[in-house]
Amino acid sequence: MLEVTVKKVLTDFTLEVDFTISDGILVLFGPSGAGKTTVLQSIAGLSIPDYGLIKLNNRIFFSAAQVINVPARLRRVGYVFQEYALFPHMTVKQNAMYGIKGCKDMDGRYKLSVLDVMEMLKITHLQDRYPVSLSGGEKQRVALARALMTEPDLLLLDEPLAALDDKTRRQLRGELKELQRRWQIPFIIVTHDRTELNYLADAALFLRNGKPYRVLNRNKEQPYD
Amino acid sequence: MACDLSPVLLSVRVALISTVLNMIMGTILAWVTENKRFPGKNLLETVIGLPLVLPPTVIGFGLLLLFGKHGPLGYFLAEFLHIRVVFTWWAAVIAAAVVSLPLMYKSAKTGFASIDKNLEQAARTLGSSETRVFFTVTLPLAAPGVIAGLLLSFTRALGEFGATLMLAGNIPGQTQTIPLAIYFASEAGDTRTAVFLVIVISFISFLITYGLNWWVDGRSSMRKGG
Repeated sequence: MLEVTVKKVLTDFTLEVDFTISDGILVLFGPSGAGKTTVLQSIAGLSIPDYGLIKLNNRIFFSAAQVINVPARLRRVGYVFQEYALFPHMTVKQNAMYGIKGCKDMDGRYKLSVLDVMEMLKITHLQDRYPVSLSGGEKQRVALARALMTEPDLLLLDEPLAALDDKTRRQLRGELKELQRRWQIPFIIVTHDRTELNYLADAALFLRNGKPYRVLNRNKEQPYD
Repeated sequence: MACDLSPVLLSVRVALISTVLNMIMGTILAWVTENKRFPGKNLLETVIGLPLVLPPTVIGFGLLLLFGKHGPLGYFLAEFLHIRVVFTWWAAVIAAAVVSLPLMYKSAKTGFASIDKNLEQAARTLGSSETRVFFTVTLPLAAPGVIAGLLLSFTRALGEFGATLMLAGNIPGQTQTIPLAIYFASEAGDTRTAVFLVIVISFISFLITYGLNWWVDGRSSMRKGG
């Protein structure tokens, strides 16, 4: 269960959100510049809120009251960046394996096999290629594999389908949903596209100028207060 | 004395050591000024860049004040460590390092500035410590800038004249580097020695600059091809 209360003064407005999710896909929906990415960055530990509390399964990531700010590397939160942010000097396989060594939390858990994850995301045949030679959809799959290899407790995706052509977008949209069902961790997906919202969301938070104006829960709309 | 190699060996040694010093200092300074905000940052960047715009004799004069018997650093080194710097070959190293530092610094900084910050952020979310982020992502991606800086800094150190003469003097076999030897041989009418050293230093500098251009060209055509 993820609990998020974040307040942060941005250039044009103050971001103020408050939500909880336990499973499924939460879509953060809104026009660009509504503060969606800042919400993701706050959860991942890449941006520090002015005020608030961020808690995942009883682990406190951020608490203004208790002056706690756990660094990003210790949060076990997967992050798929808008332009994928693949390491250009590493092969697909090296990219996918990058996070494993950083995973300090070795409490006897079964470690994923890179080959299994690459197989699942259909990138095994690309393993020795460099990111520069991949298509948008392939880059997206590598970014997903890299994030999932660290066995995160939560996956954040910033506009994961925005840079893709229509056909790849439809295909990956389905795969994302299926991936979430298989992986059984909450996904938070940022988008400004209505079709993606309708297709992907188990729950949704509509943002405008840093404030939520509507929440949606499994197609049951309710006003936000 | 026609083919005395001591200036060549000394020049190469001085240039190598000052380049290693610059590699460490220039890279750290470039990373810090690119990634951190602190008071006096503008001032620091200006001071690092000064050797590019000031005459080397002015730099040499300043270093002489600093490292001389009554200068703050010179006094400290002599009093507590019993080291005298001025008119030793270490003075040539210091002069070369200070004069070539801005080239190393600016190249490395361009390298760091060209990196997409999201790559470093991605590495953090994948569990990397700051040290690991630096050595596995930041430095490899900034490498072209750092390497170009090293080569420029080495050739500049090799050619250093004014500041070296002020701080290290012209002691044959001890502080007489190639540029100094050329000047004094030419003054003394020893054209043979002067021509020999001119050819040596031109050849080394040409090779390094040519190599750098070849490498840069190869990288850009590789990127287009890929």
